[in-house]
Amino acid sequence: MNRFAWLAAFAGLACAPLASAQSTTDEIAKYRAALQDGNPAELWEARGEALWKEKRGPKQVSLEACDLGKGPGVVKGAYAELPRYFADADRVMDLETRLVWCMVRLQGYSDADAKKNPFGNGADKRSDLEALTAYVTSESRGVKMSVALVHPKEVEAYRIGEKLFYFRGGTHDFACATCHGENDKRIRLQDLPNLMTTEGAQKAYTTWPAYRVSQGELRTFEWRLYDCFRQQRFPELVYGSDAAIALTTYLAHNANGGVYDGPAIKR
Amino acid sequence: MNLRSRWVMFASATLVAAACTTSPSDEEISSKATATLKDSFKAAGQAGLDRLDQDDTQRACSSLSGKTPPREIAAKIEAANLATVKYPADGKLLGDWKNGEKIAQEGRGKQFSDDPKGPVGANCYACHQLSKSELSFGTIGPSLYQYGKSHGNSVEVQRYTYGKIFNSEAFIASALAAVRREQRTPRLLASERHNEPARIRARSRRRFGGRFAAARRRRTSATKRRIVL
Repeated sequence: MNRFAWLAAFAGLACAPLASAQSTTDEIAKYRAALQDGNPAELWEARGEALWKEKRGPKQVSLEACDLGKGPGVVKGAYAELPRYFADADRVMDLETRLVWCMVRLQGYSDADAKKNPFGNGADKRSDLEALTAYVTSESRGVKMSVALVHPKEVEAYRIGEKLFYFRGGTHDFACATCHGENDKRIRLQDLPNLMTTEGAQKAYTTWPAYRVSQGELRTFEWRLYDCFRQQRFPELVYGSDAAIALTTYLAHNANGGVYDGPAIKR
Repeated sequence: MNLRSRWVMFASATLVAAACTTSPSDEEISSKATATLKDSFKAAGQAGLDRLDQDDTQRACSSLSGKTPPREIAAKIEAANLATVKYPADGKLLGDWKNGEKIAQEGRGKQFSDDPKGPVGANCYACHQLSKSELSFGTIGPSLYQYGKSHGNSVEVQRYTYGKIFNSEAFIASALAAVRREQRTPRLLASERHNEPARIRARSRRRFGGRFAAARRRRTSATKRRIVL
């Protein structure tokens, strides 16, 4: 072996771990880019739009008179202003809670029936709420996030949400901030947004709901919180609960000014 | 402006002022947040609602909202947690590293979705680099690759490491790490240099010129950032 080849072999050996770590990151970046080509979330959006317009429930009416905050039936841009205070419910509501409210008040479903299947399983068990959420959020694509804190209950929800973000608990001592408080961090190979910065909150919040390739399912923001808490070793987050809405208010308001770009597609 | 509109203005200004003074204090919001949590979760699988009960350390650290605790509070938290560390009765601090790797890899355990009879791992790789061969490692925590090399393997270091794994708050209370990092860096760099005898450094300088020296400088500064005791 001549001296040059020996040197090249040595250099190759020295660089091997670095190169393979680099190529892993590259491959993941390529995979993510490839995902953007076609987004199956469109199937959920289409099914959601049909569900929105269909006469359903005991009262056999559609959701077209549902007030998402911008007046009955206004879907365009509604998600970019949620959560918000609704006088008729005397409560701050996120989109999913408001959809349940309309299914109960307009269509005559019981509260339990309306939210009995919030998350699908990626196969036969499909969730109408996921589809409806996909449709409504898609109607805010390209709209700037603008979540107001005007009503005292909106301010309170935001402040409680902030407390919950830093709440450390459970067997593993985790808070949201444990994983989402620094730039450029990851769990295993999964990148984590820093939700304490405006850019981080905007990038994360404006890309939910998302079609999750690994689950073959469209996932909503309520699901995102639910599954984060599961991994935090907390008990089960109740769908539409005050904690879920407070945290959503906190994160959505922090994302203000960011252009909404969901439903997106993720790993 | 007539008298009536003046009066209305005055009244609204008073109302606004009253609203400001009655907005809930930070303590009120904290206790509301705790009550909200209790109402917003349900027990599932092995995860009961008692998991929402914070201990003193969790309460103190949560209230800092991600900020560095004052030194005296940090010292109190550390002391309280150091007191919980139970060292092995036989004094043996080193175990079976192969079993350690298994525990470090295992991510399951304690989630409400986990089988209570199933494995309970430490999930170290979620946040730390450990072995060279595992590329799927997280970066929330510092890299622990070649931990023994950079920290040494004296009994003191072993005791520190054992205690750190037993209860991580015993040695770092929240963001106090940053302060410690400043103090510890020089010593660690000295021990690092110790790992690479001068004659080897001189030899690689002779053979590979400036390129490798530059690469090593980059590596060293990266290592400096990574190592946090």
